[in-house]
Amino acid sequence: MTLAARQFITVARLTAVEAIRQPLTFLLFTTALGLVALLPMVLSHTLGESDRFVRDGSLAFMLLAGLILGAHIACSALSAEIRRGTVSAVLSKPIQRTVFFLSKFAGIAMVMCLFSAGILMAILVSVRTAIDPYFIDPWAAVPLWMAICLAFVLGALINFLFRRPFISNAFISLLLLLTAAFIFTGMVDQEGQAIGFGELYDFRILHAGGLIILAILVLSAISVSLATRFSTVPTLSICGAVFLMGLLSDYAFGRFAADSLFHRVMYYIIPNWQHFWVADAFAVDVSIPIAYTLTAAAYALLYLSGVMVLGMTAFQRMEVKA
Amino acid sequence: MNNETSYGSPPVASAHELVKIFRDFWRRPKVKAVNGITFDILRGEVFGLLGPNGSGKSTTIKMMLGLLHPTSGHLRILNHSPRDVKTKSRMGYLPEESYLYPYLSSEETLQFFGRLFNLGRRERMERIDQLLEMIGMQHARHRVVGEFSKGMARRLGLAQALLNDPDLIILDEPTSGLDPLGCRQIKDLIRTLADRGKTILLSSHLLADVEDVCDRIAILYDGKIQAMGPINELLEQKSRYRVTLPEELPPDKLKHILAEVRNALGDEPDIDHPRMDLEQFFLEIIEKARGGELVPTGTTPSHGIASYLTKNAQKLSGATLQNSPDHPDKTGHIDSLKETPGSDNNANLRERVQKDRDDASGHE
Repeated sequence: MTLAARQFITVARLTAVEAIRQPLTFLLFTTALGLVALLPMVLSHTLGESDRFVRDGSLAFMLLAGLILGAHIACSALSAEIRRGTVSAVLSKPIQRTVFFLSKFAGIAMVMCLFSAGILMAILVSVRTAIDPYFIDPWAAVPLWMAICLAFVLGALINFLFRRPFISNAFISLLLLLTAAFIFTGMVDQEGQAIGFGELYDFRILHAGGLIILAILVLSAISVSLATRFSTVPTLSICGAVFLMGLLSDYAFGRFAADSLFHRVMYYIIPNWQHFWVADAFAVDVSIPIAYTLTAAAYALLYLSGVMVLGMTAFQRMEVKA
Repeated sequence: MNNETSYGSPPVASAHELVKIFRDFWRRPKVKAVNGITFDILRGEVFGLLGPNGSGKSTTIKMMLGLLHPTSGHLRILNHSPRDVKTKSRMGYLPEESYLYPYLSSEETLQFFGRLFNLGRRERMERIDQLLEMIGMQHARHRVVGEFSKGMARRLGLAQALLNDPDLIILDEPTSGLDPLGCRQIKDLIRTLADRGKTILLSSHLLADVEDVCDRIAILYDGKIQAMGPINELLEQKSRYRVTLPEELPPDKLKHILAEVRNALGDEPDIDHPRMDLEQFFLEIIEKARGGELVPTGTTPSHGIASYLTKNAQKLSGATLQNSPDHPDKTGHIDSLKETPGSDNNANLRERVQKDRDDASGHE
């Protein structure tokens, strides 16, 4: 392995570890999970559409929490490090700025993928809880809540017994326990009888979730690129504006794009989050063509690459004053 | 540009008419932080950069590290551009604040920085063990950096700066935040590293520390070098003399000498008792109180230097460490911090500095 490749892995891993050990990461993760787990209880007795509400609501939580978390981690991984001076300590070592910048994004992407994997498992279990509109499935709800609560207990125990950091151990425990809950619930029906794995899961959610992960990665790339030039508050503010404009892109810019150059430019520049939201299609039982998914993935990849090239150029020329 | 110094070897770092202007958002000049400075740093010397806040010390250091780009002028580090990544593998840098990752432990921090260099796993682990022992922080290898006192963070910062066995070590305020025992230990370490062939650039506000360890200094003010040279030359008052008499001189002999001096001068000479400096006095008191062992707060005993840091010196001096009276044994990780003159690789410079010191004391 070349030195550059080893440095890439080292910095990416460090970025992921630092992000996982931040209290805000765990707080956002558990809050999103708690809301996903709580939705079936709140939305029971909804005239037969509770599973749809739970699915749409959970995916919306995943998108929102993912975007906030992605922007936050990007800021702390780059702009906070630049301000604190950690970047100057690292760049005084023999590492190319390009390698450093790309590995920072890779570390953030790793955490976002772990976060998304955990949330998607919880959504699958939660939607399964709400299949019957007048009945909370205990074989799905209890394992999910137990996973969330036990993660705190395990984190505290490891901290007490081995003096290891609470946050990172609780985060890892939570991922493992969610996986266990997901597997267990997938193998039993609402009566607790054994069934083939995943018979009661709505696996279309993974399709929708995959596209949401792409949206989260695009916003993370925007955040990390902005973080090369701006401090945390401006970066988060611009990301928030991009998120809102992207949600309204079709309405605010798309419908005028044919007639106005400004609207056309804005329509192309601002990422259109609607491309990544396909949950509505499930409501009317429309299957998502694979071509659509590939097009959306290509759009995300091109957008992400463009943003990363701009970020890399900015970082390459940046003077580290702190 | 000087490619070779008066001491016969090329400078480790060389700046010529270096200028740095910071600009505002609209690219208009805002501050001229460095204003045409020229200096050479020689191999094996401890070079001090002094100056008040805003004098351009940190800007100069950051240009040397390739973190800032000079507006004009010429800067070479180890005969390469400071932005050359390969040059950085021969440099070590301790930033002004210990900019470390707060959620990593000591060992993880050193592992991280070690992996950025081309060091094998075994070598990296050996160096980390030696460095943690050297800075007296083996007991805290699994503690996260965010919990450290400033002094402990400083020590860890120093360890990461030495991981790659650098030829040029840049230390920005190395003793800031350390207690007097820690300061003494760091100063001893700096001198030992210099004696073993390392070149050290030191920036500090603590003038007493600079005086203790530096061979040459440059004083910056308003982005310009106001004074530069060997510290003894700069501080020496050539028009005045000090006479030191042997200890416990019989009173009648003292009276006789004073009478002779009075006769010769035709005036009354100033006489007082020599004073210990406060640091020395403090360290003696603490040493007594601790039963003969000086261990800075939050650390474990260590009076040595990581042995891998001395290998380069062995090659250069041709002397083996086993020949050195301070070297414990072949398996020992840590060599004594006491000076080993035989391991000096820049004899000219060191001899000259020693001569300066002897001359200065000869005037007493």
